[in-house]
Order: sequence, then structure tokens, then C-alpha cells
Amino acid sequence: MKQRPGIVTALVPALLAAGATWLATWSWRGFTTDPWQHLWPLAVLAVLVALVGGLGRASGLASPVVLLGQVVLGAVAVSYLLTGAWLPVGAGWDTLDETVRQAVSAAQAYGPPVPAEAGLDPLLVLSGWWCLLLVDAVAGGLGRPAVAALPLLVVFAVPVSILGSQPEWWVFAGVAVAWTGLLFLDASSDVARWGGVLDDGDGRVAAASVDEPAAEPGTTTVHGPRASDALGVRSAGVRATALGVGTGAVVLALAVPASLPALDVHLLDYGPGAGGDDGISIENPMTDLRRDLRRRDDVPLLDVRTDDPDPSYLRVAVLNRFGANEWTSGDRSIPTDQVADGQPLDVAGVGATVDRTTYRYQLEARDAFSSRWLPTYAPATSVSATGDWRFDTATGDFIAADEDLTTAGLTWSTSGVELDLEQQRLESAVAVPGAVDPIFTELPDNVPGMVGDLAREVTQGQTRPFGQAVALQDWFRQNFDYSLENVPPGNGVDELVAFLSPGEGGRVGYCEQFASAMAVMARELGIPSRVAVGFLSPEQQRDGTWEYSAYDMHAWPELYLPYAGWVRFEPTPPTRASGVPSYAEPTAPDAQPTASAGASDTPSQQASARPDRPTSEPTVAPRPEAATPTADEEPGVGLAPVLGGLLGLVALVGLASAPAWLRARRRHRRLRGGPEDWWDELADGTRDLGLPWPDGASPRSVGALLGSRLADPDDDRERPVLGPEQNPEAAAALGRLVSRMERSRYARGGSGDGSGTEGSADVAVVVDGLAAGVRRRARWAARWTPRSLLRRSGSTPAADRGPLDRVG
Amino acid sequence: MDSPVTTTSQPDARPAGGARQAADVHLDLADVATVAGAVRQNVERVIEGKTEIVDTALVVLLAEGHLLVEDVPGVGKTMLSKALARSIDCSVRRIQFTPDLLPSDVTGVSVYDQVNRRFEFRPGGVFANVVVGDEINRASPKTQSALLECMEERQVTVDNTTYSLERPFIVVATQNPLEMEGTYALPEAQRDRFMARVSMGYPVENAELAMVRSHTGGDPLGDLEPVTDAAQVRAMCDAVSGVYVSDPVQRYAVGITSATRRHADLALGASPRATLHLVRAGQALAALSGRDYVLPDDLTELAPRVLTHRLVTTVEATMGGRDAGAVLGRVLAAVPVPDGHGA
Repeated sequence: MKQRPGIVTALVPALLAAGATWLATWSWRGFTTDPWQHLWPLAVLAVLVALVGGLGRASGLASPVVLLGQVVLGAVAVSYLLTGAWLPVGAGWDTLDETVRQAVSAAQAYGPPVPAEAGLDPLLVLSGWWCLLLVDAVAGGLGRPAVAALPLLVVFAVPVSILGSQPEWWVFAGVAVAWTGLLFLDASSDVARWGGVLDDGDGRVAAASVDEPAAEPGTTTVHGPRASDALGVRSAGVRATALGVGTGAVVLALAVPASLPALDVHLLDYGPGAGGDDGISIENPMTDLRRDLRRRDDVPLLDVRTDDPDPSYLRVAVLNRFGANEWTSGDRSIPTDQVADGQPLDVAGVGATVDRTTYRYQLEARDAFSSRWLPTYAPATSVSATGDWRFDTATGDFIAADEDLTTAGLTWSTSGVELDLEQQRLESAVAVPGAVDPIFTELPDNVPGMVGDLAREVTQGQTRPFGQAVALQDWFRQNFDYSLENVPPGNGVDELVAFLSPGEGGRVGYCEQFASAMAVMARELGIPSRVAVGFLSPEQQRDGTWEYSAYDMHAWPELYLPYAGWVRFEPTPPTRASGVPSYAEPTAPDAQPTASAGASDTPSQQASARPDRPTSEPTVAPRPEAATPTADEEPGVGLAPVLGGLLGLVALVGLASAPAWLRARRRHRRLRGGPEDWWDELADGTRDLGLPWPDGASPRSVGALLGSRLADPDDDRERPVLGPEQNPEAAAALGRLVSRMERSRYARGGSGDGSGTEGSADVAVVVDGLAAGVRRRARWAARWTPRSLLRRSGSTPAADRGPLDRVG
Repeated sequence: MDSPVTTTSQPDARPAGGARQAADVHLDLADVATVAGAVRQNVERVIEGKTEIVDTALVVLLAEGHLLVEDVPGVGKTMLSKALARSIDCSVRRIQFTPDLLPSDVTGVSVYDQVNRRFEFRPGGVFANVVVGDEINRASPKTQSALLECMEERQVTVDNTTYSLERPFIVVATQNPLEMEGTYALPEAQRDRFMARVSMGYPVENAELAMVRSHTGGDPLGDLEPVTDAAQVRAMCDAVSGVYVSDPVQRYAVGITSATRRHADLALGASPRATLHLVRAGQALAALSGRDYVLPDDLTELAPRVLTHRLVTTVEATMGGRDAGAVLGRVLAAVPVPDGHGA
């Protein structure tokens, strides 16, 4: 360990470690719209960290010194990359401080992907730099490349947990390859010593192999002693075996979780899919919606193949009755001839002049999706499904007539129309009483007056149904916050009042509350309304199909407007549903510099297809504005967890190295003492290695026992030969220690040379000799989890008196 | 042989009067080790392959104790004693213990001198520097106790006159195993007076062969030349008594003996005199190693030889096959060495 590695030997692993870390940060690309703004600086920092680390270790500097150099030089580079000033002092510091502050506020204010202008990148650069330092310190400084997988995993896993998306397979593969390479380099230096080619400790291959280039000139450049020492093993056969082992291990790591049904692991899109218990069973649509949105994992439920460029708002069911406690689907009486056999269906209430575009959809439900309601795109013009699915003309719902008929595993086709509604025609339409069933305007008696008052107040100035609906929608989108947390579930009257009331806990909710509140307020205004439950927007797969998953479940209100029929609105704030229907867009967006306009105008990668296309953000997104924090406010989910995770990791590393530090302190203190301290240190060093230390034995007998445990440090065999003759230097040192101890304890006046540094040097030599005789794991444990710390220091162990008591 | 007492060297045994003689030679510890090494070498020319026995004899000599040699006849018990005595230029007497041996044969007797018309003391066999008591367990208990009294008190009192025995004074008593016919077992109290007991054992084949060769060529004992004298041995004994016994070692000695007293398998443990003997023997062993301080390891090494013959096992232990040596081994393994960190 103390031998200096060659330049190549030190540099190649350092570069490999930095490269692996940098590659892992590619999984952060989803955080911003322009990932190269942090990937380039990180590449520079990676090279810097690797060069300083590799060269520092090659020149024999201690690991802490190397780390210090990396931190100092890295800080200069970070300062220059972020602010343009080489040193973060004076104005440079102010700029850096401002940059980081801006990045933190950007992390709190925006959900990913954060616009490039928001200035999030400094945070990513800093985080990436720490990761580079950590990986280099663990893999290079501590020489534990296997442990370096942990920080790499954090780098890789944080975006998965925040973005909810999976990084590309090649990022994973690249990191895995680089890390496996690190392991290979580490192990090969050991392996190289097993065979005939011996390493003289300086990384220089011994004479036998140097002769080879002369015999084979063609291989000189490749297999020269300096080039080969970095890759200790030179045999192609061994390399091939190592490659095979590495590849096999990675493949196994991917394949085993995928083949175990008990583990719901989805690595690189492989895996068993949702297990039996993860099924979505839709009985009461609203209850299921609530449950599914709060699920821990996002289960894919439906696949859609269509010519529709944006197959959003797949409706599962319609709730048309508002009772005191909740919205329900009401009573349905469906004739037996209304079955989903592909017959053409009427689109109710739509003016004849409205342009229509018909799209065809082929839907396939996964086994995990078990619903007694058949999802369709409203308004549907035809539905063809196997099984007894009946439709209700008033709502357009398809319901399973058989008790045990569900959508699980079902494939069905449907066609729907997209209405090209003109805003002006909508605005001018006048409500026609009696156009729809009165159930769509019924409200229970116990709805408080404040709901109606609020509805009228919000829609003040609007007389037509459409204008009132848009006003309601905009009011919700601008004044409410979206959150799944800390919201009492339910959509009854009490929850409605709590939701609508401003103040603590009010005006925060999720789609269920938004949809039901808007529907109730619409009914207060006399507009027929209902709540639709379904899926918001799917994610397009590589093969062109679309996939809905549990997190896509959504609820929205549908209002009946003359000329247009049942029209969908979107009161849920833009953090969840970024777009409103085109016909319902605010007429003068410039006049409303609020979240609605701002967020819906925000360019987003997914929304580029259509302006009203909602994002497919499946997780809880942060609020668009840095709202005043409240006690129960959910912390800004952005990059704060990255920071937190990294800080936690650093704390963990600190915690893990605490025992070693305490032990080193104790050792240092003792080695400055006298023979008794040296003896105690020898005892602890022996116990740390997991070797027995006979309590209550004389120094001489302890010396004999330890002497039989000594081994040659250069003996690299699994089970080194033990005995004092294996390590004469340590045996002599042990003899001196025993003799000093005996003189100190038993000679007249504690005579003997009780001072000086030879004793402490002897302790080190003996402990090294003992360490050479134990397994690597024991040496590791002695270093990081010294068990002697668990004993009370400087006291006579209780075990000393035990035997004497037993004698009697 | 009209008397059981024979003198093999320096027949002019003096009934020396007065107290112990002061050492007229001064030796430091390095000399002790050197001289002892010479004596050991000399004795080993006669007794082949018994280094441990010879060392024990030297330890007992330097610690001014007495040695009990126990074994079947013909293994060299007497030869050892004689060789030791011959190596030191000092007086040696051999007393063959028989059932009809009288106490006065050992101590000496006052005889009325008709010419001088007064009583004259005729010293017994015990008046010598090295006394070899052969087959001590064949004598009557009365005679045994007369010898043991002299051993302990290093003086002889006859007719109200006390005669001191000259230093060095060592009794090397040999004893046949108790199973043999016509023996009176030494009582526990008397075994306690011997500092150490050794068992000669049969020589290994090569040693026996060498013995045969050397003995056929003549009397090897007769060829032995003294390598030291009584005065030098006295000085060595004085030097040994100055060897430092640290507090942890003292506590260790007490720990060992007190542990034997409490052990369930022992009906009789080691006496306080045994503790003293152990420490003194430890001093001698340390001096033989050229050390001026006693190690716990010295006591551990000597304990089987110093303590075993004093221990009496219980009937249960004997039935269970646990003899005194095995029990002592367990005691030694259990008693911790004080580590010097205080009490």
C-alpha cells in the first residue's frame, strides 16, 4: 500500500473513475433543457480531478493531501467555470454566491426540465464535482473501487427518483463498463502476482517480461513494461476471462431481478411487469383515482395505437350525481341492445356546423388494469370490444354487464372525434334549459351558500355559460396549488368547502378536488356539469404506441354548452396539467402575467407537438412560483434532494470513517507513551485483526503466541505461512517489546528504556507482521471497524478476574 | 560398611559452631550464571539427557532448598546427587535409610570420652554440605522426622547443644514410589519441606547408550573435577537472594498457591511455605538466566516441580483420573498474571 504506484498505474484508474462519474451524470440531462451547460464544465472538472488524483498518487502523496489538492484546484476551476473569476474572493465571491443562490431558487421554483435560462446548472456542476471527488477518493485514495459503486449509484439513481424516468440504457452500460474496468485494474494487480510475471512493487514488470519485446518486436509498443504495468495482467487469455466475468456479472445483475417475480424491478425496461398484487381495479372510479395517484410506483396500464397525434384525456367513466358525500356515477339503466359492437354512436348536443376530425384508436389493457368501465375517447363514435360492454347514451360510458367482465388483458378498438370548436361561437352560445337530463344540474341541499357566492363572484361580468366556465377554470388555475400531499381525500360537500376556503390548508388539492369543485360551481351557475375520470396524457413509446400508466390518472369537469355539447375543461393548475383546451384558452394571455399563462407558454419538450398538450409529468411537480412557504408545504422537489442526498452521502462517509479516526487517535497517543502503552497498543492492534489476545498471560507467553502468528508481508497467498521465522524483523521487534515490557513490569524500579521511538516503531512492525498473516477482510475490518474500540481503554478487563473466581 | 553414613568427599566434617558464615566471596549475577553453567556442564557429563533435572537441582541448591528425587531404583538418583556434590568442592555424605536407622545416626551423638572424661559430640550424617538421603521412605518415621528437622532448621541440637550446619546445605533425598514394598510414605508435612520434587525417568535410548559407553570405560564419577567450591556457592546463594521480585510477581505466586487451596479437586493445597519456596526458586531460576528480576514465566515453569508433591487430590479427583499435576496445570492456566496496572 505504501509503495508508490507508477504514473500509468495511478492515472488510468483515476481517469476511468472520473469518466465513469461523468458518464453517470449524463443521467441528469433531464433536469435542464440544455444539459451541455453542466456536462461541459463537469467534463473539465473530471479531467482535473483525475489528473490531480492520478499524478498525486503517482508521486507518493498521502491520500488526504491529494484530496486537498483536488479540492483547491477544483474550487478554482469551478469558480472560473461558473463566474469567470479564477479566485472566489471579493467580487468573484459575490458573483459565485449570486449564481448559486439563483440555482437554488431555480431548483425550488421549477420542475424538471428547468429552462436553460433559469440558471440551475451551477448546482449540478457543484454536485457533480463533489461526486467526482468522492468517487476518486474512494476508488483511488482508499483503493476500494468496489465501494465507488455506491456514489455512482447515487448519481445514477437520484434522477430516476426525481424525474421518474429511466436514463438511457447506454448511460447505465457505460458506467457499468467503466466501473467493471476499475475493478479489473484493481484485481489484476493482485492476480498478476499469482502467475509467473512478478511485479517488483513499483509497478515495473520484472525482468522476464521485459525480455519479451526483444523477441517480438511487434508487441514492443503495446507490451512495454511501462504500458503493461497499468494493466497488471498481460495475458490475453486472462483479459478475456476477466471480460467474460465482468460481462456475465453485469448481465446477471440485470437478468436476475428481471426474472424474479417477487422483485418489482424495472431495469432498462426489462422486468416482469406489474405483479398480481399491483393491479388497478376500477370499481368506483374516483376512489381508484385517488389511490392510484398516491401509489409508490408507476404501473403501466394501457397501450394505445392511434393516428391521433395527441391521444390525451382517455375517459374511463363519468360521475354525474353529486351527493352530500361524494360524486358518484349515479343510476344507469342500459338497454341490452346498447352494446359495444362497433355500431355508430351519436355525438350529443354538438352543432351540425362544427368541424370534426375522426381518429381511430386500438387500445390494449395490461393485466394490471382491471376496470368494469371501458376507457374510450369522448365523444366516441364507435366502440368495438369483446364481451358484454353496454353504453349509456346520456354519458357515453361503457360498463361491463357481466359481473366478472373487466378490461384486464382486453383489446378493443374505438373511434372518437375531435371537435374544432370556435371560441366565438362558444362565447355567443346561450344556455338552453332542459337540453340535458336535470340530474346534471342537481345539487344536494346542504351545499353552503358560499359556494354559489364564490361562483358568482368569480364569474362576475360573464353572462354566457362559456365565459363563466372559462372564468372558473382560470380562477382555479391561477389561485390554487396542486399537491397530492396534506390534502384530505374526498370530494363531498365538506371537502369542497375546505378546498374552496382560503387560508391554512385551503386552496390546495389535486385533480379530484379541482374537477369536482368546478363542476359544483358550474351547477351553482346553472350550467350542466359532470366529472370525468380517466387518463390525462400517455407517454409515447419507441415503437410509436402510447402508454398510460397509473400516474396518468386524472379527473376533469365536463360542462354542457349549447352548440358544443359536453365540453371538457381543465381547472387543475399547470404544474399537473399544463395545457387547457384550445377553445378555453384565455382570450388575452398578455393581460394575465400569471401562472396559467406563464406555465402554459413554457416551452417543454413533450408539449411541443401541440400548444394545448399537457405535459406527462407523473410526479408531484413543484409550484410554478416560489410561494410563501407554509408549515405543511411540501418542500420544493427539484434538485434539493440531489444536494441532500450528496450531503447525506458525505455525512455517511464521515460517519463510517469515525471508528478508524478514533482508533488512529488512540494509537497516536499511545505510541508516544511508554512500554505499557505500547503493549496496550499491540494488544488492540492484535484484537483489531481478529486475533486472540490472551488476557492474564505473561508478556513472554503472549510474545510466543503472537510470534506464531507472524507472516511475511510479501506473502500474497490466501493462507500465508505463519511463524516467527517468516518475518524475522517483526519477531525481533516482538522480542524487544516483550523484553521492554518485562523490564518495565518486573524489574527493579521499572528499569529499562521506557522512552524513545523504537518501541512505537516495533509495535508498527509487529502489527504489520500480524496483519500479513490474516485475510484481507480482517485487515479491512481492523482498519475501518476496529473492534478494540468496544473495549474500555486502560482498565483491567473483567475477564481477567473471571478465571480466578472459577477456580474455587 | 558398619555405618549407614558414608563420606565420599572431605571426610573432615566440621561441627562448625556459630551462625551462618558470611560470604567470603562476592559474585554478581553474570558470574552466577557462568558458574552455574559450569556446574551444569560438569554434572551432565555423568547424567546424560536430563537437563531439566540438573537445572532443578541447581535451582534448589542456589535457592538453599532441598530436593526430593522420586523414581524406581537404578535410574541415577544417587549418581545425580554425587555428581552435583563432586562438581562443587565441598563435603558430601550419604545416608542409606533403612528401617533400623536411628535418629542419632542422622544427627550425631554425644559419646563419653573416657580419656578426657567428658562427653564428645560425634556428628551424624547430616553434617555435610551435600547430604544424600537414599531411599528416605524406608526409614522409620522417627528417623525421617529427625532429618527433616535438620533440613528445615539447618542446625542440630544434641544434649542441649546446638550445632549449626555449614552453608551451603542441601539434602537430596531419593524416594522409591509408594507402591513398592517396605516403604513408609513421607507425611504431607514432611514433603512440604522439600523445595522441589523431580522424577528422573528412564533415559532415552541414545542417552542410555552413551551412559553404557562411558561407564564401561571406568568410573565417570571419579573423573569429575570440582568446578567451584563451597565459598563460591555461598556467594552465589547470596547473590540469588538479592534477585528482585516485583509486586506483580509476588501477587502471582500468592495467586497460584491460594488457588490450589480453593480448588475443588484438591484436598490439600500448597502451604505458605510453598509460596516462599516458589518465589525463592524463581529467584534462582532468574539468576541462572542472568536476570536480576523474576518473571511470572519463571514461576509458571517451576510450579509443577515446586508444588505438585505438596498437593493432595480428593478421592473424587483421583477416581476421575485427575492427578495433582493435571490439577495444577489447570490452576496455572486459570490464574491470570497481574498486568502491573495496579491491584
